[in-house]
Amino acid sequence: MDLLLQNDPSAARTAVLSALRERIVAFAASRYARESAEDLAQEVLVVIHEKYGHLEWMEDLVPLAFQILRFKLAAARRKAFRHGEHSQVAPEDLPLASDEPTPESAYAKRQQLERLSGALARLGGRCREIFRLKLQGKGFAEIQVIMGAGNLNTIYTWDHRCRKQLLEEMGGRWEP
Amino acid sequence: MTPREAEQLLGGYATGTLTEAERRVLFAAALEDQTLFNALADEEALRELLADPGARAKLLAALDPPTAHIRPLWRRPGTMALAASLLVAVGVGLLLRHGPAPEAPGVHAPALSEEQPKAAPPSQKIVAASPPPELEEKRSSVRSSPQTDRVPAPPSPLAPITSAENHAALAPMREKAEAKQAPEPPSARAGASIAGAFAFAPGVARDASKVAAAPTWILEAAPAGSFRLKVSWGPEGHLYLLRRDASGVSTIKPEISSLQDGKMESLFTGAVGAGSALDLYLLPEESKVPETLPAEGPAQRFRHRIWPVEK
Repeated sequence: MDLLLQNDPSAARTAVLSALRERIVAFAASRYARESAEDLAQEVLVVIHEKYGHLEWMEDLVPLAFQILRFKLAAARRKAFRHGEHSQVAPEDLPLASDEPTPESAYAKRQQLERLSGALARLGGRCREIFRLKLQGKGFAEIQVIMGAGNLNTIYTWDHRCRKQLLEEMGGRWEP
Repeated sequence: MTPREAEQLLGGYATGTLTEAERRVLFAAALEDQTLFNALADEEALRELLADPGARAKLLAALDPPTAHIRPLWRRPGTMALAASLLVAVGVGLLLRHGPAPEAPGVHAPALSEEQPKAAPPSQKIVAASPPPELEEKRSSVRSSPQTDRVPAPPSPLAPITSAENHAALAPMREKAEAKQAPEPPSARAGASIAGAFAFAPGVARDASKVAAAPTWILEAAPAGSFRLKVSWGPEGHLYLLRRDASGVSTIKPEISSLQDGKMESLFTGAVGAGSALDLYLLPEESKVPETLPAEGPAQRFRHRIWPVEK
């Protein structure tokens, strides 16, 4: 099945969700817990089905699935933490969740930003320039013009190498 | 595009800079390739961070291109320090090259109005030639100097006469010389005439506000009515030597002026005849017309009639 050749929106959505389920299960099994992977994938698809039923195309569904997956993973971690012996607190005693970032998440975000800044500072000039242009919203084609590269694939390659180098500088993970 | 090729688009996902076509290719490849899917899922954390405008602005500020901070070459500290060093070096060099020479501090004497003996070079030691017996006697008797407290030197026919030799000691000699003046030609009484002849030449520019103590001098006789006068004086002030005779007042300038051991030493040469008088001045300020300096009346710091010697 070639997902890029789907013309029927309904069929495309079905195909995309099917592929997503398979990928999410595999991802959750490798990064989280194999026994909970199925449940995690199911929870993501439920959210997509219930709240985003109007989205049909892959370009919308895939990034949405990544965001939901991230939230579900975080929720799963918090749930596992709550089940620990050292944090036996009655659910009724827990405060209601707020839309605002918690101090913990704010701290984590700040820490992640500092790590990223430090890693960027250790990159070479070209990588820093590419990242800067991307942060400015420039596409690869624009970056090619700005940096005077002869081929767009050159920019792809440069960016790919820079991303790998940046990830290595951050210890192999974007999050601590 | 293969998943491997699509992986190169990962870097644009978190920053949100992929085109629609690139996004489609990347997502399709991710749905078919688990590794790429996992990488994209991991990239979500970075994408979420970069989606925050504040975090994005901070990163952009940290990634400002280095060219924005490049200062012009002339404003860099290293360049400025180098320029300052060069400036100081050039200034010091110019000062050393064109500054006042310590050996000859700017003599600005008026034109010499009298004949100067040129026989002996200025640096040559001045020795009285054929001093008369009267002069030798006086030299031996006037060695003590109230100004310099010098130890009296042993009598010598060639010993110079110093300013410390008081006037009373020289007076009899002067009288004798004057007595012989009429019948004898000047050359015949040169030694006697020169014995008291002092001349001081025009001022050496110094700090006008501080004129040091009175100068000391040594007069040495020379043949043919000429004299040589060596004056040692403080490094400040203006020194003048005037000759007064029947023809008027003239200024005698020094042949040599040099700074030695913190004191100025000036050498004058010239000739004086009968009826001439030599006045020595050490003034705190420069005199434009030294010839107008008074021979009598209230003294300006230092004035002394060195010839004829007063009783």
